[in-house]
Amino acid sequence: MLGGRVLDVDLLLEEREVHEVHDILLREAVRLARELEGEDFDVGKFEAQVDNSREYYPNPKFCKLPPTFCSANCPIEECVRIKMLSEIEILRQIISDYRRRIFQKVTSAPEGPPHPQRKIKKLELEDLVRKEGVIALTVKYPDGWRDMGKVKLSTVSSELTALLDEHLKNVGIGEFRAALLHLSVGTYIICKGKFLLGVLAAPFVREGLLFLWAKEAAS
Amino acid sequence: MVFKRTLDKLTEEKGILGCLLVDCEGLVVSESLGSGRKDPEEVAALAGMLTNFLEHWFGEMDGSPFDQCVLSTDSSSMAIRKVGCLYLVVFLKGSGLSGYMANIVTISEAVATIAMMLQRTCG
Repeated sequence: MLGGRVLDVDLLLEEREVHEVHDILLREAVRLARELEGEDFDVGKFEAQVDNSREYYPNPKFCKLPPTFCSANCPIEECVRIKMLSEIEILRQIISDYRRRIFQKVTSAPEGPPHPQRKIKKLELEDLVRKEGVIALTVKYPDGWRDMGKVKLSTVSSELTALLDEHLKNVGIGEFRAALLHLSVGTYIICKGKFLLGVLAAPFVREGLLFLWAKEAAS
Repeated sequence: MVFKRTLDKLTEEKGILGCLLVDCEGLVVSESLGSGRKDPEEVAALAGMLTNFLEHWFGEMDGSPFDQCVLSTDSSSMAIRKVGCLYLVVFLKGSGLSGYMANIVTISEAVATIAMMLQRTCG
C-alpha cells in the first residue's frame, strides 16, 4: 500500500465529483510517468498497479454512511465510492512522488566528477535565445533593456521588477531574486543575478530547467 | 471559517510557512500566517497590487487570465494561485522553485478545495 492522505473535503465529494477528481489525477499521473519514463511507459500496467495497491477493507473514514451497508444496501466491498476514494489517495501519493523525481532529475548535481550530459554549461544569451522552446528574452544593461527574440518583454520586466524590488522587502518577504509566471503561450521567468534577465519559453520547456538556464545566464 | 480550516491545514504542511486568501482589491478574506510573522494586511495589499498588474499584463500579452506565479527572494518564496475571484498566497521555505515544486500537489489540492467551497457558496 502506497499510503496517502484522505482530505476532509474528499468526504464531502459527490459521486460525480469523485469520478472527476479521480480522472484528473489519473491523467496527471500518466502524463508525469511519461515525462519520467518516456513514451514506452505502459499505461495498462500502471493502472493495474494502482488497482492492486488499493486497500480494500471497510474504512469508515471514506464514507459517512453506516460502516457495513450504504443506503442502496450494497456490501461495502463493492462500494464504488470507497474504491474511487482509495485510488484517489494512491494517485495523490504517486503524483507527489513523480513530481519530486522529475524535479530531482532536472536539478540534482551528480556526486564526484561532473558527467558531461548532466553538467549545465554556462549559457551565453545568444545561445539561450536559440534554445528549442525559448521564444524571447530581455536583459537589463546599464544603459537600458535589450530585447531578443520574437516578443518584446522589456517593458513588463522593467515594471514588474521595479514593483517587486520596492515591495517584497518592505513586507518582510526578502529581496527579490526570481519570478515565474504561467501564461497560455508558455512560461515566463525573470531572474536577478549579475544581470536582470527575463525569458519566455514554450509550455513544453520544463520550468525547473528554464529556471536553471535563466539563473545560469543571469550570473 | 470554511476557508480558515483549509488554510490552517495547508500551513501545517512541511515546507509551508503560511498562507492567506485575498480578494482582487487586496483585502484579507482569511489567513493562516501564524503569530508574529508577516502582517496579513500588508501582504494582502502587495498581493492585490501584484495580481492587478499581472491580470492587466496577461490580458495584453496573450489574452489569457492570470492563473499563477511564483516569486523567489533571497530567503524564501511565495506562490500566488488564482481561485475563482480570489487569490491564494502561500509562503514557502527556501528560495528558488524547489519549495513550490515540492508542495505543488498540496497547494493544488487546497486550490481545488477553496474553488469547490466558493462554488457552493456563490453558486
